[in-house]
Amino acid sequence: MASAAFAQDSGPLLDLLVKKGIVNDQEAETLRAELVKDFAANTSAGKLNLSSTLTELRLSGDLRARFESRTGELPSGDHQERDRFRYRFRTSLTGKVVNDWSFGVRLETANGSRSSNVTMGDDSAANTSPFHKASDGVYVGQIYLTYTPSPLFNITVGRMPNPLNTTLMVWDGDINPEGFAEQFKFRDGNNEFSATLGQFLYSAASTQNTFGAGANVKDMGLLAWQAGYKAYLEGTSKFFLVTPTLYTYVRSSQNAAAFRDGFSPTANQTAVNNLTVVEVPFEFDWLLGGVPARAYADVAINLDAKDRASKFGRSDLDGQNKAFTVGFQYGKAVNKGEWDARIFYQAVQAFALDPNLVDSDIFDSRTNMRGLVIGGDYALGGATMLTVTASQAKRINDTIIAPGAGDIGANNALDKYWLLQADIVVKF
Amino acid sequence: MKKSLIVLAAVLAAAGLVRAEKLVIKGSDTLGAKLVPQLAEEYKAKNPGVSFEIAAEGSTTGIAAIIDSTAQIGMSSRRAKPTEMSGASAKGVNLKPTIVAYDGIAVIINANRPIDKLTKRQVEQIFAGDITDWSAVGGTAGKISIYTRNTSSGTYQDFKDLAMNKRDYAGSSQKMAGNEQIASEVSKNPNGIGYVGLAYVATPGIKVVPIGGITPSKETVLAKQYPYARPTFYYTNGEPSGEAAKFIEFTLSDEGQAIVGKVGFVPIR
Repeated sequence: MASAAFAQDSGPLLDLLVKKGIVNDQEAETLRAELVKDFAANTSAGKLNLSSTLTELRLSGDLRARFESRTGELPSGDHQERDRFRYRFRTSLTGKVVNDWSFGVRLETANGSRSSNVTMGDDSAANTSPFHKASDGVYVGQIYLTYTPSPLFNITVGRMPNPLNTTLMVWDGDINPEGFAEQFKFRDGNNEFSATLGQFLYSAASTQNTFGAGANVKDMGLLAWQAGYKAYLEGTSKFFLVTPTLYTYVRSSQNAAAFRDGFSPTANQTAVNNLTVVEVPFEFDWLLGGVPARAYADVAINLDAKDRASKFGRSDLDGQNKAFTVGFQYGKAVNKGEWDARIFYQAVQAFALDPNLVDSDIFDSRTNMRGLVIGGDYALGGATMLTVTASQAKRINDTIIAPGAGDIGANNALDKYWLLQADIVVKF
Repeated sequence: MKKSLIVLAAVLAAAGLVRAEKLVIKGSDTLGAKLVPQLAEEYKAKNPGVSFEIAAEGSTTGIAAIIDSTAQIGMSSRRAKPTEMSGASAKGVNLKPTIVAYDGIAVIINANRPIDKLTKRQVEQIFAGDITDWSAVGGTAGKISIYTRNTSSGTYQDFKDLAMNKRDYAGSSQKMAGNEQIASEVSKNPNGIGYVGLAYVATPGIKVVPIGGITPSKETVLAKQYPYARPTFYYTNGEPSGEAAKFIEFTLSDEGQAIVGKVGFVPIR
């Protein structure tokens, strides 16, 4: 059966018919009007009235259903489990307008910076009634403007997708940093050079230089300086990429207590004093027997860990300043029936990274943990993915806590940790 | 009581007759400023008792008037948009176009400006604001002043489609209510540039610029050689009836088309 013909593609045909004298102008006009009516009646595009300044508009998103099981064990052998059925919905509206500007807005179902999940049955303490909706909501996960005056450069402001090339070891994939980012990219033959600068508002004070004798609290910033080099070795399927990055914190000692925390990383160690982190992620991608393969690693060190350990009261642990992950992925699940598998080992010492940024799942948002993660994807369809992830982790140094604000419970004496996640994701 | 009812019925009948002979036509300034009033005068001369209400406030208002059933004929210098078609269908209105004349959108400049040709690319660049000085297109220096129709005008949209690759007008462009206002402003401003329908090119103080070597004329428009040529329309709700049908028939007749040519448009045959 022939596909429907609409006005969008019939104009040149009608003009040709007129030119050849097969129909006259009025007949062509009547036919054109009928086609436009069909287009208006039978397509959603015919009902849209978009601004003339728009040159592109895209609606996309994903919906994920998940079963998750987390288990923690204290040194005494005491266990705690947390099994949850969860869902997450995110939808993005992105677009381009005239004169090199673009924008994006993403709505999400939950307000967590590291998670947009909602737990079925609502396991929050405040709500016990069947199918309660208290944890469901609509939140702005991303909202940003980008100016791209040249293919070589762009600048973004707002709450944006993470502009840095990194791994779950340093940044949870759900975090969308707020502030400014500038990206430069230049390719010369098979060599591509890039730089990404980030000026993120980590935590803002409501007022600065408070009247009277109030605490002199200031905005705190996170600065990221990333350089990049990508060597294309064979088309776009075989390449090497390295992106060394420096993170520095600005006015961390003068920020609100949530991150200053007495300027000493006690308790759950969310304070961000004495963090000057160098991260070097790198990867090699190639075709292994015709199948996409990826070997990757990420190493990081906190150059200020000596003082961080000292302020924690354990100057003897100033060597707990490193983190690394090394992994391998075979395959790439995109089209129906395709699959991939991955495995990586990761270790994050207690004073190596900012515990507020690390992934919230594989080590339960904690540092001072090491362990193995395996997982895989199977494409049920072109837009539907089945994903399984499992991890097993153990505290690195048993003489100090495994800090961070995890889901398994507030007890930072956590010694061992297991995670199992099974997801079905529909993307559009 | 019976007598009162008879009088009331007579009054209502008379009112109905009056309404039946009044033709409401709304829409395009291009058609409604000169052509349709002249057609209406001629038609009235032949059909005493018929009155006209003509409002020329832009093609958008003409199509909206058909959708809202506030006019029997909607004048338009552009085709109805899909959203207008959709809106009409939702109200049970069947927008039917009838070509009544052809037109060429002439690019005009001040008569004293020493420019005698422009390319399509230059026209796009000027109206989009990429070129802001006459020296960039071979003229003597001077900051270009752009005059366009307002956004309810069919010509405003047609010119974007035909001449500007659907780009937006320069932010500095000045929006005018009608063709005559554009012609008037350009005639007074040595740095001015604008566009008008063929019926308005005789305004003193302006000159028409050939585009890619082609001057808008009856011949180049009919042959579809002139790049900014277009049909103009009457829109009705389905097949016209009554006085509207008769007026459209008159417009398309030899006599009506003679008026079309006399006013400056290009007759359909």
